[in-house]
Amino acid sequence: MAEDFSRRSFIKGASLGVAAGYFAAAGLSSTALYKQVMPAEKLNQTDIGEIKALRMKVISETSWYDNNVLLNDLKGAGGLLVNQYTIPWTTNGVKAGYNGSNSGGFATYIEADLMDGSTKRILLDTGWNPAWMEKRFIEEGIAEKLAKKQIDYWIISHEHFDHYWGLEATLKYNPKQEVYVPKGFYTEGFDLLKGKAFPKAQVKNDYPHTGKVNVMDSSKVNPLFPGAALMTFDMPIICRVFGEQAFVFNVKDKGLVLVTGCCHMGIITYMETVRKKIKGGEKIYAVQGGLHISPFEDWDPQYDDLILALNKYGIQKIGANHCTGFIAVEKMIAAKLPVVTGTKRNMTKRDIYLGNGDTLAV
Amino acid sequence: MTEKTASGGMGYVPGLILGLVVGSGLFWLTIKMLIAQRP
Repeated sequence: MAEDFSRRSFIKGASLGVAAGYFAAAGLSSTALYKQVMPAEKLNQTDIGEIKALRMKVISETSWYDNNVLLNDLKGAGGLLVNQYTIPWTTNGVKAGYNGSNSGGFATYIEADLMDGSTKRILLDTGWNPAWMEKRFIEEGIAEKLAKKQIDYWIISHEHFDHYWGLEATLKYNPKQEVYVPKGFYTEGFDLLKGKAFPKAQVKNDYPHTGKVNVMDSSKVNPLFPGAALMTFDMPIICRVFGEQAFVFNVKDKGLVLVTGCCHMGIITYMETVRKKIKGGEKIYAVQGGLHISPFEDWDPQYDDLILALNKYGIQKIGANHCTGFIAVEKMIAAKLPVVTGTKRNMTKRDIYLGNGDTLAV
Repeated sequence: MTEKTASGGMGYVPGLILGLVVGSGLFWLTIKMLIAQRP
């Protein structure tokens, strides 16, 4: 009788012990003992080299001038998934627009000082409205550099209308300019480059491209020159576009500088990919360009988490603009993130972020 | 006469201790197997 009673007690204790031990171990391994239990993350980092310094000048971050007009164009065409080449975009009668057109464009000019003392000159994107982009190109000396063949790299971040359709502004000054596009470009994009027009979307190219076209692979880090690389992300984007590429620069004694067009892959995805794939990825010094958080000035509580997450990366300079959205930048400033302010010139509406004509130097 | 503990009877505490060890060991094995199966 006594032995039976003890065995029953023992089994009762053991049952509770097994359950408690299992869950206690789960709790400890996911918190205090995480590093001991989980294996170290396998990183496959590429050494892209170093540059001395970097300067990024915003040629135009004002892709369109009236959000409501753009949203109505999209709505009228059938929604966000409609092919951009079939949408009748509004190009006149917009009070806030450039000469009545709602189209502006995005482009950034980058100068990278190499360790050997030379300088590489890069044009990222070419905007939307050729008239606006040509004006900005002339004002900032880009047109002259194109004509003198001083632009070493012409990079298209992605095929969106506001980054790519203003290609006449570039090709007018150098139709032979070698171009780098991300994997995922559609046939219409290559046809436009060759000179085809798309009347419904009111986009044309009277300066057919005659230079080399490089399609950048998405499966690896694509080095450009020592200290600089491109990374391409595969993903579908609104208006039937696929894929986007962005820069990684490694500035000596500073760290990595990420330069984006629109960052549809998401800024956290971009930084995490860089952390895993680029040597020195643990130290992201600066981020510049569109961060695609609230492009239409809307807000969702989940974006608050994004701002909190950004704060954990220890970024020293955030040169955000364009599709980052003013609301997102206001939240970043409130969260004490190091947002670089601008000068509110050349049709940029506010000075809380880097605007048209402003430069971020690293 | 068997002496009873607050938990019910003799053997409960040794059972509990053994259970804790076995339970945490089971979790250890589970997590190791899951980690080994990661791509």
